Amino acid sequence: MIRYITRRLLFAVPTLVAISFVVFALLDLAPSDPTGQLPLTIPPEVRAQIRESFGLDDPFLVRYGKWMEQFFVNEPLNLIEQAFGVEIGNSSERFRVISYATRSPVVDIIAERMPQTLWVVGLSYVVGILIALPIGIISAYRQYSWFDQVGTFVSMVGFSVPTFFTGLLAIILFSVMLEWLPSIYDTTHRVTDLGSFWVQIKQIIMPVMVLAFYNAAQLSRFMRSSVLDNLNLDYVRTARAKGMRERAVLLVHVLRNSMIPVVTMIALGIPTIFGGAIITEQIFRVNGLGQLLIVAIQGADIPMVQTLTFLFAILIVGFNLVADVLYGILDPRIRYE
Amino acid sequence: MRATTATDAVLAVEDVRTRFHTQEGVVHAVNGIGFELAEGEVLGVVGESGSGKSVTMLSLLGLLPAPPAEIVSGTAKLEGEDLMALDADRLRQVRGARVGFIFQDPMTSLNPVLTVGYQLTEPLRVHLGMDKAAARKRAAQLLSLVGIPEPTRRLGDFPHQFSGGMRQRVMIAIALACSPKVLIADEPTTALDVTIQAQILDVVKRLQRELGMSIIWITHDLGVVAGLADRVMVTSSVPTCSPCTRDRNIPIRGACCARCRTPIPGMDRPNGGSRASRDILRVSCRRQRLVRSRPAASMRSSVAVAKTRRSRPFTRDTRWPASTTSMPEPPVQSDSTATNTPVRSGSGATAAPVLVEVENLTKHFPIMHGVFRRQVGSVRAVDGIDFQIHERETLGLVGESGCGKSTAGRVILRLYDPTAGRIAFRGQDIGGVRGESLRRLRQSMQMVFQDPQDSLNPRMTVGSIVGEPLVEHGVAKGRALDERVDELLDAVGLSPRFANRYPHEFSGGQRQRIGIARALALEPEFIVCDEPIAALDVSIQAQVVNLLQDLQERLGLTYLFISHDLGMVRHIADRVAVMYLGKIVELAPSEKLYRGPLHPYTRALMSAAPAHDPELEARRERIILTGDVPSPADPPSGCRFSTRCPIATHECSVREPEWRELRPGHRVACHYAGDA
Repeated sequence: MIRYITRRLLFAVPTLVAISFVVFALLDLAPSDPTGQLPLTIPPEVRAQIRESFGLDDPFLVRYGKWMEQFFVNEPLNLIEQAFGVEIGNSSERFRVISYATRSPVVDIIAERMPQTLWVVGLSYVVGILIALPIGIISAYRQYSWFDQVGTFVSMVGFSVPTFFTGLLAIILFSVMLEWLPSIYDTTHRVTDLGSFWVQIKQIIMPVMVLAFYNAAQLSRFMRSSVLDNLNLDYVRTARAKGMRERAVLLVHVLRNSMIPVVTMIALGIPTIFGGAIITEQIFRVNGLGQLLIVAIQGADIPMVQTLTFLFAILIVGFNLVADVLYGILDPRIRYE
Repeated sequence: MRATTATDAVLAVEDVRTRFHTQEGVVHAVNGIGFELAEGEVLGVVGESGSGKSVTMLSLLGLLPAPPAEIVSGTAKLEGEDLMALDADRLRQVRGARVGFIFQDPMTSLNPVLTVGYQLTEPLRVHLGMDKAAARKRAAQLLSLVGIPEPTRRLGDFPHQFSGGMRQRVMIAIALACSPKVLIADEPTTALDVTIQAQILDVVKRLQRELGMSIIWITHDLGVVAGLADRVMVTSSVPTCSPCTRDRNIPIRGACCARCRTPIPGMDRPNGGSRASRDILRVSCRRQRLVRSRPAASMRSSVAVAKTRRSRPFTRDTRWPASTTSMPEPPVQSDSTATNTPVRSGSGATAAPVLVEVENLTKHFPIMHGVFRRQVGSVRAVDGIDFQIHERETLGLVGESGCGKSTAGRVILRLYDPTAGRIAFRGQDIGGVRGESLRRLRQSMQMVFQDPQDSLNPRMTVGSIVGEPLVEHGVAKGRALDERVDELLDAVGLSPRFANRYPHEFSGGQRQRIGIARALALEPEFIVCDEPIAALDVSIQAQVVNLLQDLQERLGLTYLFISHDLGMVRHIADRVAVMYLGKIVELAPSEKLYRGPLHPYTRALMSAAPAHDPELEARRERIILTGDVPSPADPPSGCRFSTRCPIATHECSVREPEWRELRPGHRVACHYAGDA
């Protein structure tokens, strides 16, 4: 197993280098100008100086090399210094990836935005899983029952109606008409006591549920078909022939087997949490990573977009490996070496 | 003979009727089956697939999925208690505790993600209320009871770490965990190799003696029943099935027993009498009724085959190789063989020129390992085999699963590249032929595959499947193509009307006919038949083999017939090669081989196939091989069979036996062949 992971990690290096090149090159080719959003009163010479200060006049490969150094050497070193409070080399002279828009290090901004996204989107993912699994199992076990029919209908709706619609619908219903919940997520809110905790729940519940509904719709269908695949297999008949209670047949024998593909899918979906649900964050005004990415794209903040995109790529490659490893752990027939 | 009155019957079943609601309508699978099972009795239930034998037993214990299954009526009194009247939970308490089940396929009937120990302790904990430690202890005892070495350690293993035979032993241990009164075994050895089947039968016989439970043994193989059962019940298409009583020592005779043999029609009537042809027809009619969407061809093709059979009948002798050196030869059978197959003496065939010749043919599959995927070893699937196939001859290649026989067939056709060795076709070396010339070569060499379900493209019509080789090789197009396709379909006994249908509309036997038509399309000289009948019902197997023989005579074909079924090979092959772990251990003309096998493995293989005649079966000595076939990645040193050979000496494990011609045309690789 360790040998397998090592091999996969080694293979990940060229993959990520290739991705970094593609990301950098694509964004470099995009016709954008970091000074484009500056007031028109700024004269062209000043704009040229700004561009020069960003190093935009260097050849492509030089800029790519510098970015690589910043991203792969300087930023990790900086993270280590911050985490352990030590100083490695001359840290003040080390160049970091700087945002065009805010002139502050990109990584610091991302670290600032991360908690909101993790809370809202991550929680919605967990809630979605918790809703989806039981629904999927019951739907499969009682195939074509009214529960299954309703479940099928609801998940079709959840699957096909986009979150910008369900999100707005929820805002109109619960914030505008019923006035139960706030329509905007306040990131500055701090939970200090029971009262503020209640406020936090009220503001987080709508974005979480809207996203959870969408995630659960997909996952419950997947779970249902996976359980169905297993229910007709011979070993289930064996378990029944042994006189196992239906509960044990379903929750021990069938579930263990049906979870194998589902867990893989859940693991593969985790990077999307970090990607932030861009649309949902916009609707509920959660200033998380998704919103950061949108603003950066609009403002032609190339370093920010490059860094975020590449971070997502790392996460996707990483969680692919995690999914494969989980697969090997769950299914004893798979042996990695 | 034991009396089976209602009073001492452990299980009394009456009038079970089960039907399935399918899209094509209601299928009446079981129509009023009834039987009684006495204490300590073994009841054999025989019938071809679809005759409702498994469904009956599953109905008794509520193991059928409902819907689509519906149990219409029936009583099943287990020690006086009617199982079919019990509610779901009470019935659950019966299953596994008082009635044990063994299923057909040990590869799929154990849960792949749970340890064997867990699966074995489950019934102990549920039914007997044992705690974890006690259940584990008992589980280890059970594993050693069914003959699994190192039972305590193996409790922690997963099913995939066991071989097929060992898994079936685990299954038996699970079924016996709570000492049930009745054990229902549903074709428990069908999926296993003959030598492993012999081991399992041995275990069951021993356990039955030791534990004295009653057994219901479902099978389609009369040979298995002959050696095991006290009584036999035959399920068939007719609405009711009657159990027929017989003693273990009295041969099967009379009406009921003629019925038993319907799977191989006319087996006990060498002339293929009218009764036998009616049997086939009846079988096809019933299939028509069961599933209405089936094309109406089975009638027609059955008639055709019945005729074919009259000219070259199956005899009982050719179907089941009851004769090995350790048992007396029944005189009547040898007569019929001699008169029916005079050509098969071998001398006539060897005079013909050599069509295919392989020398030291080797195929190794690499095993990759480590971070950089270096090759660390190889699976020696085929490890240096030599033989010649003469024109118009059939060479049978037999061996257990994993011995490399299919790989050998594929390498000869150049579907795989050989690792070493020489393949010659008509004297020309084809081992290194590539590209266009290889493609042209395929015109003269074709293959009939094992599973007609998987080897036909489900999205192509029968006409395009059969015609594709003609189009690909530019042989025919347009009208000529259609005509040729019709001709081919006709040759394999299918109506040209079927050209526009899809494979799923046909039965297994018909699909195999399509596969044969496809192989014949380019008028090849040489056809590799890779287990062409293994996936078919027993009654259909005979039809397909007859068709192959018929085509061979008409078209002058040469076959390499790969099979694990010794009986079928004896019937079709002129000469037979026996393969074990990548090597050919014995090669001889069929009759010589079956009458006087020289290699201990061949003898064990023949002895493991159960004799059809219960009298013979009871008398003969059996050689039961211990253990499983070793891994071809790490074959034993010296003689590969030495680890399982009953007569192996030290020399066998050190020196590899040479491939020598002991008698004219009879080659064998064994140090001690001919000594005994």
